[in-house]
Amino acid sequence: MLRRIIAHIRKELLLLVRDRAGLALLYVMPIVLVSIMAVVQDAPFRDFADKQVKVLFRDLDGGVVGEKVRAGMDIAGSCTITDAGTLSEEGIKEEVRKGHHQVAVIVPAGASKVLLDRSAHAMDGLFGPDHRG
Amino acid sequence: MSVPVIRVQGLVKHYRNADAPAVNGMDLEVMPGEFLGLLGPNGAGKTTIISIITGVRQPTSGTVSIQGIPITRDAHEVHRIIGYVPQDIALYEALTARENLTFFGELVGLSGQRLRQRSDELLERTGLLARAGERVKDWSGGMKRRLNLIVALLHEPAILFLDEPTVGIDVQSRAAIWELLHEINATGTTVVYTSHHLEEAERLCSRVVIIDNGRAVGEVSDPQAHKGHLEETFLRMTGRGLRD
Repeated sequence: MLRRIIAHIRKELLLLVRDRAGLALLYVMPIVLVSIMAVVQDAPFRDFADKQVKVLFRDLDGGVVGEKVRAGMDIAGSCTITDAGTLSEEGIKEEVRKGHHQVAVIVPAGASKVLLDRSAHAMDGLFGPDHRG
Repeated sequence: MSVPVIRVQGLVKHYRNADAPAVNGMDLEVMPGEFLGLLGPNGAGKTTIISIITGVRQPTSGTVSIQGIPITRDAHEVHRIIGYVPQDIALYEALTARENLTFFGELVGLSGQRLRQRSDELLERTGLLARAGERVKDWSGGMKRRLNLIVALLHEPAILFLDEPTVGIDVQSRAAIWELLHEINATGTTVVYTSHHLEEAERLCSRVVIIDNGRAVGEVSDPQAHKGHLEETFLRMTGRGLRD
């Protein structure tokens, strides 16, 4: 029985080696398929990664919050940031509406102060003299 | 008194969706050393009968035994005794003749020097030895037929079955096949074959069984002694109506 199985294996190998079309289908086609699929799948991701969002930025705060927001968008690398200069809030909305920019970010005046005050208040609440043991 | 090496009793084969059975109550006995021809018109059931006797197909009913062994009980043992040359060429065309012989030889238990010697001997006798290293796909129909016959003879079977072994080949190849069949029959091998060629049957066979509608309708012993009359007998027994 084993001899017959070996005879069949040997015969099939000989037939396979001599069948170039069969070999191509068996080995080359999957390689080609995987390569094509890799290229096809890669393109949308690359498009997405390369896409830049036009952002109109206006820092009315001038403090640490505005600075950090701007720095964060710079690091993300997917934003083309344009400084709105002295453009009013209405002017900025109009720019987005017209499609010159896709997004506008306005850091409101006093944002840093509000944030610092609130965090100081929270810290007092947690560690202030009323809570000391 | 010798015992039949092939005994077929009440053989019936009904194919699904067929109106009439392909084999319809066939009885046959073949004695050792006979050269038996199964003759019949197209669709008579010759190929079905031979494929059931060799275990390729299962009968609907009836029994077949080879040297006393029922084919349905021990097909593996029967295949050691018989050789079968099918109507269609059964070779791997991408392999060389020698590779084909090595493969088929190993399937019937031959190997090494014995297989090599037997292959060479048969290739020599059929004029194929010099081209044994060539791929079969580049060969003519006659060469393929000769190799097909060699495959069936590798294990020196006691009984050889051939289904139309000389269809579509040149005169030289046919003569070589006739000669080889005559030689192996002379050494005691029982030969059973089907054919359309009455002249071939007259020349080779020691007995002819005429088949029609799936059963034996007549028999001619020693057809060589009645040379020229086989066609007349054949038409009398099977009629002159055209067949599909």
